[in-house]
Amino acid sequence: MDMIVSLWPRFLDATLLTLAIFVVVSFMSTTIGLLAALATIAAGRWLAVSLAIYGWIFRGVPELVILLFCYLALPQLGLDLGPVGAAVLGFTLISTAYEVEIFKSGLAGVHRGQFEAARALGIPLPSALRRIVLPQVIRIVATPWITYATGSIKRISIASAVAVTEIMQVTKQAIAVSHQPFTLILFASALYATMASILMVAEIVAARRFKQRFGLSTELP
Amino acid sequence: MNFSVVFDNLDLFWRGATSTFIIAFVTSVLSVAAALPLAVMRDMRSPLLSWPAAIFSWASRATPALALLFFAYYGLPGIGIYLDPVPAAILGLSLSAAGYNMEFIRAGLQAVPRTQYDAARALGIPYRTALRRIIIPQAMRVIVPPLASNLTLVIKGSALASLVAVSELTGEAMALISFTYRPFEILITIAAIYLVINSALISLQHYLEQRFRFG
Repeated sequence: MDMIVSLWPRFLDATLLTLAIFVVVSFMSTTIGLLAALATIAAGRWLAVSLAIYGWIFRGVPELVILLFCYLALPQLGLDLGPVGAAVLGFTLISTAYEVEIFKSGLAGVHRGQFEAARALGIPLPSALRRIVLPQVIRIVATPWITYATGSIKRISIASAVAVTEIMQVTKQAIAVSHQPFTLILFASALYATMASILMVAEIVAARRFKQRFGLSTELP
Repeated sequence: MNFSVVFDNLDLFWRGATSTFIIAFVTSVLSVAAALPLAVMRDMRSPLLSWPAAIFSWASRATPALALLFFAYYGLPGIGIYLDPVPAAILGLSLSAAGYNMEFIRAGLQAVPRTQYDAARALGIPYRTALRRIIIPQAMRVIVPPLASNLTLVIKGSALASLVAVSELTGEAMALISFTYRPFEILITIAAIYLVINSALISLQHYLEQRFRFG
């Protein structure tokens, strides 16, 4: 216990770094994923095909391999981002592939007639998207988005392999000096489990709320 | 860019891919084998059975796979259990996959109408036999597709074994990078190998979905 207390400042920094990476990656991948999903409505086949290939690669290759690529191979091509930069780039590339799918299914859940009705009423496409389509999309994607975010925060542990001092990396360093692996790994797991559990509870709350209030289930509200 | 480093070491990539496949296969089998009784326990009336299963499910799903791998490889020796890298990796990955598999199996078991249990009971069929012969065959339709797609996740997850000294595909690649320093060519190659394995598994998944569609 004394060991955890003395290491606490390092674990606190590591937790904050983990959260910061999570927030930056989630923000960027959600924004890019939403824009790409919206673009598929307007753009032709080529965009759909390139997004499919992109998704096939970034959802099929292990996260660790993509992070190693960003950390080791990109500098070989002249792009040296450092450990945190490489991890943020790698996770953003991966998460974007999933966010595109989440938002595409969200958009598919909005009836086509809504787009046509907005057009018939002379509402410009940007306002129709913002005021009519997106509010419905958000209700559909809230639960899968949080489910993905839960996996996303756990995956940040992999950044320890590219020298990012997130929780697992600090744990590895602490094991090397203290020789108490059992306690330390349990403690690190508890930190991750706490963050993941908050999202897991949010997932249940979102699923319940949106199912009841907006009638996504087959029953009438 | 010079891919000769890849062609000169083809045997190494082959060996790595074989280990990846074996680790993923054993992990899949073990994690399903562990998840099935836990899924049944989770919905038992006795809290002595349902609570441990619920706690396991939560712990397994809330903890990163890497933390479970480190726990199996670096943590267990702390309490006197020493595992070699490969068994430790398989244990860690199986613990991580079991939590999700448990929820898939539970959803499948719950999808079988309650009346089927009642009918089996009315006919005097013991609970275990009813599960094995009546409930599980019907639940398979719901269970198989997510379990099969979980297999591709296990393949991806097996790359983490390289971080506990297992020389599967990623581990072999990291070793080769450290003495040739050609990360670009080597990582592109293993990424392609993973994609080929995954695509093969996705075809298998479609086949299984067809196969179990009509129970």
